[in-house]
Amino acid sequence: MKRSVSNALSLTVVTGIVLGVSLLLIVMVGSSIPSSLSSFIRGIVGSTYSIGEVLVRATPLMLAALGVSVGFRTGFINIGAEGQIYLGAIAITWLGMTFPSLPPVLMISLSLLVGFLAGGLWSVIPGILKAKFGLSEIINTIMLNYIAINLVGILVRTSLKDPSYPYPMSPMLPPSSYFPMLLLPTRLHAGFLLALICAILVYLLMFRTSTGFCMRAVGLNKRASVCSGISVRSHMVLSALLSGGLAGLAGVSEIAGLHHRLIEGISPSYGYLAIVVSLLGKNHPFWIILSSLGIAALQVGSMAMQRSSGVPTSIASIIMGLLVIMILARKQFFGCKEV
Amino acid sequence: MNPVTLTLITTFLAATIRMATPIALAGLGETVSERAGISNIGVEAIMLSGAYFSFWAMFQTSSIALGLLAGIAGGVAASMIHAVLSIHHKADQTIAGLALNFLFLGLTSFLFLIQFGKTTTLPSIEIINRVKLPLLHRIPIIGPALFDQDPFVYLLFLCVILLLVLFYKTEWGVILKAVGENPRAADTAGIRVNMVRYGAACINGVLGGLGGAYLSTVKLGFFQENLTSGKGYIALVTVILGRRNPLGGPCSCVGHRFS
Repeated sequence: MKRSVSNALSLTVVTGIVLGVSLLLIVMVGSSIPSSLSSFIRGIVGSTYSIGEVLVRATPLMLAALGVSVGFRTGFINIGAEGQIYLGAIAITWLGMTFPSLPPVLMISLSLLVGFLAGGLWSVIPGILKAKFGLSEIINTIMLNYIAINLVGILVRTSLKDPSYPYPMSPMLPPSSYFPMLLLPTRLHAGFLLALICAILVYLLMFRTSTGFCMRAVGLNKRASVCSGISVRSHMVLSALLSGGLAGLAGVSEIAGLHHRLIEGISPSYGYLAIVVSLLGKNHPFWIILSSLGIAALQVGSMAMQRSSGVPTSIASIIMGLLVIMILARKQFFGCKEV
Repeated sequence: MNPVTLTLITTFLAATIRMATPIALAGLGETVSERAGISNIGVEAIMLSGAYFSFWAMFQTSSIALGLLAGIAGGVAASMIHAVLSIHHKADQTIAGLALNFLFLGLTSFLFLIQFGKTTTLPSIEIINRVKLPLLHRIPIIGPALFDQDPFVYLLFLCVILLLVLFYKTEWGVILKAVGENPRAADTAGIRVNMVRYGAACINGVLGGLGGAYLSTVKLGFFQENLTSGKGYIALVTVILGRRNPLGGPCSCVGHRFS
């Protein structure tokens, strides 16, 4: 009882401080608070289009964050979701350009598989390095991000380039690879459903199967896992595969649902945001659905606020950073326990 | 060798050193911090903060000293947030560093837009000039690269030598290493672990802030959103490549910029 009270109190204080700082920032710009706030809220729930936009933003965040959470639960700190998203995007582009005449069902299922494998294998590299040689996966995943981002840069200028355009991008993929649209005037696509399904699957895997139990055990206490006969290495590599694979799916859904072609910068640091989303969601799939919607709403709303009241969008980045720092700090201030 | 190639090599070396300096400075700071057992992913944030605040102070006061001080203060502020979170609150260092990156990326561009966003011309400052060291800069090939540079490069040389001595010849180095490798043993031996860690984080902030200040006050003379664009992460790599050795880090920076 006492713990839940202090938990609620600390959350209120954190929310209060973050709200206060954001209001202060709005005042510093010189915009009026009511009009900024109303444009913020209208930008999120004002129309069908804006709601769709929030869901579109939430899709890659949710998928990548699910991946990050699987890694975190197993003690594999995956900072490389960004690179894995790019790898998934490369995979579907390659598939679409190499086999353009596949029927839609086969095309979409194959692209999901290839994207999952591409992202997964990209993350298995640091996974194996960590499991076998004990190298820091944090540094390795960050470095692989750079390789992946610049790999896309090379590919869209060379082998995957559209020869009829001077810009560095791939040709449009065949329509058979497109995800079906859900809510037509908006850009909402079936990738959102995919993300929800993945959340349920991740929940079932992590909390309802023995493999998931072993993975969580490895994350909580390696030594105890070894002593009770759980193979730390294989579970670490498995979690790296799943972690990268889910981020790869995020890349696939961005291409198949939104851009329909490979361009540079398809992921405006979704991979790093996904870590924040996963932390806010306590690494639990169902909370991640909520937190990804929250972060997406924050971003979409702050963009609307910039358009109508001139408050820079970087306010979203400030709020997120502050939120995470406050949440990390509140443990000590209020003595509450995190999961 | 004909004189043209010689000049080419010389300018190339000089450019390499210039490009490596900010990363090497930040990397040195991170080396100290990692030796004390705090791996700060937020080098990017420290550099950005240093770059913005030094630019801001120099723009307002047009004084180099104040600008550098502000840059150092900005860097220390950023690294102190991380230090308090990871030492006092025992938070996950990786996540704290990441949050720091988001916070300072947002904060610096927000402040920049508020203060300079209204004008269409790019606000710029006088960049810090080069200083030739007498005689030494006349050494062929490496002379101009090493001894005809801005003060930051000399500062970098100084820091490398200082840290080398500190790490391998003094008790401080042993203490730092002990705190990083076995905090419990260090605590038993009567070392105040947390104080050492705060000190290391402070040095990280100072050097990282200077590295950031180099970008805005020497290299570019202006500030823009996300000025560092991933240089902080490169600094992290050079620390690993240099095996947390004060000489190895900058060398790997130079190698990296060389390619």
